Amino acid sequence: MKRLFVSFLVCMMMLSGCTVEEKEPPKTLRLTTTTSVNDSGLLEYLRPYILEETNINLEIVSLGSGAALEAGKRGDADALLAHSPAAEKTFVEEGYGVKRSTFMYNFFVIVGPSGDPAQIMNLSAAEAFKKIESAKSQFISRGDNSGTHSKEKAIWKLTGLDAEAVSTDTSFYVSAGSGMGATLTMASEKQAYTLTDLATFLSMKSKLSVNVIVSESPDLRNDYSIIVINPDKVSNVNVETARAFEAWMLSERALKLIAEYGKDTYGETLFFTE
Amino acid sequence: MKEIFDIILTSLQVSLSSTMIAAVFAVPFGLYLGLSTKKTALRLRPVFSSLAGLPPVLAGITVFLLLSNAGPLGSLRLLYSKPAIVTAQVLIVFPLIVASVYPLVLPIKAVFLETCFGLNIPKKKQIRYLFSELRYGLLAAVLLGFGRAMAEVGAVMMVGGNIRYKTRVMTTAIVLETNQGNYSTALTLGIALLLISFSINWLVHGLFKEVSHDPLY
Repeated sequence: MKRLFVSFLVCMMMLSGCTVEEKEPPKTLRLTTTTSVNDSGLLEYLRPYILEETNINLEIVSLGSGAALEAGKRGDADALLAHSPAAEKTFVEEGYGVKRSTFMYNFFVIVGPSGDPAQIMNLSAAEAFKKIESAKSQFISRGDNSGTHSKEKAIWKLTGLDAEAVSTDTSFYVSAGSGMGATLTMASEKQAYTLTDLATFLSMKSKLSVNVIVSESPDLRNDYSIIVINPDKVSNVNVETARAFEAWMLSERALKLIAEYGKDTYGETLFFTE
Repeated sequence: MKEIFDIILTSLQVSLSSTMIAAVFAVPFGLYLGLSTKKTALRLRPVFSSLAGLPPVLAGITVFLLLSNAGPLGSLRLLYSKPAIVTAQVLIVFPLIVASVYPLVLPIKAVFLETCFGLNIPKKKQIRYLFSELRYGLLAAVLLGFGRAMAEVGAVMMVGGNIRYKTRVMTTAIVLETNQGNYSTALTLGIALLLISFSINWLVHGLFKEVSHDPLY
């Protein structure tokens, strides 16, 4: 028994000896991101590089854009990664964020049944929405004030239609109040149109029976930004680590890694950088 | 405001329907399980007790796969509808009621069967007498089921789809508000849900007390 105990102690010493040799423990960054970024897998892909090159360990919480900004205001995050430009600008203007850096973009796409009942192929997003409305083809909205939902509302505004009237017209407009995955599933089940980010759509494509109908129209551009939370306004946030993370994400090296992401898995670039 | 009222109405509508459907079958079945001495009945008891603790999302995914376009009942076009929510809730509530009904029978079983035997009461009538004997416990079991149906989120989200003006219920509305960071609205809805549950329980218990005239209760 005594011998067993001694050998156990020796083992423990050896184990702890291993960790002593490592460099200083990684700093933790509480990063709150919108669901679509998280679902795309981009951050998991970048995580080892970030840990290696900046010694920052990401603690990622994935929330809808509205809740993500709210988490920032409450000090539940050190940095945010979001794609709701209008809401982000207000957020920074109100002093919650130090600054907002747009670092990558991609395009939303309109997906729908392969028969394209509303005949929207090759149109701009606004024209497509107009035709969907006049044809009363089923359209599924996220309906959750997410970045994607904000984009959808912005496109409805571009059509010149009364956005409020459209969103309450239950004859074709279905407000799902759900995440992107659940909304895509619903669009597929109901053979309806919906607006989605490309990354989430590609990751679920094999399980869905809807296709991309409108893509890369200029009014479908989707900007992603990093916001460092302002320590003067929000208490208990780690601004140094957040700044280090931001600096790395904006570096040539990171932008190159981001631009390469998705090419081997999907054969397409998921995020573009400038 | 009207929208919130409609959401509350939808919640009550689906939960009351599912609880009633489940109770109509689960109560007699539970009584039978408690009364019967057949081997199958004895074996079924632990089965229902464990089914009562099953994660509701399992009921959700089952109903989803059944009703989905690619599923066996896809042609009914029932996915993302109120009947779909009711079906999932029945699956959740049924075993829960069964599992809370059969243990009620066990402590009074010996005396009850003896009395029935002595008075020569036919088997069919036995269940009816048992029913009135245990009414308070049965009521509690059904209310438990109703509470469970009202409180369900995951399964309702899956098969109902949380569609505005159609299948949005209080719990899924709370999730939606929370996801948007509207914590005070979410909390208000939560408190409303609690108050509704409380009033219904209070009402039913009150009514039952008046009807029963039983000095024991």
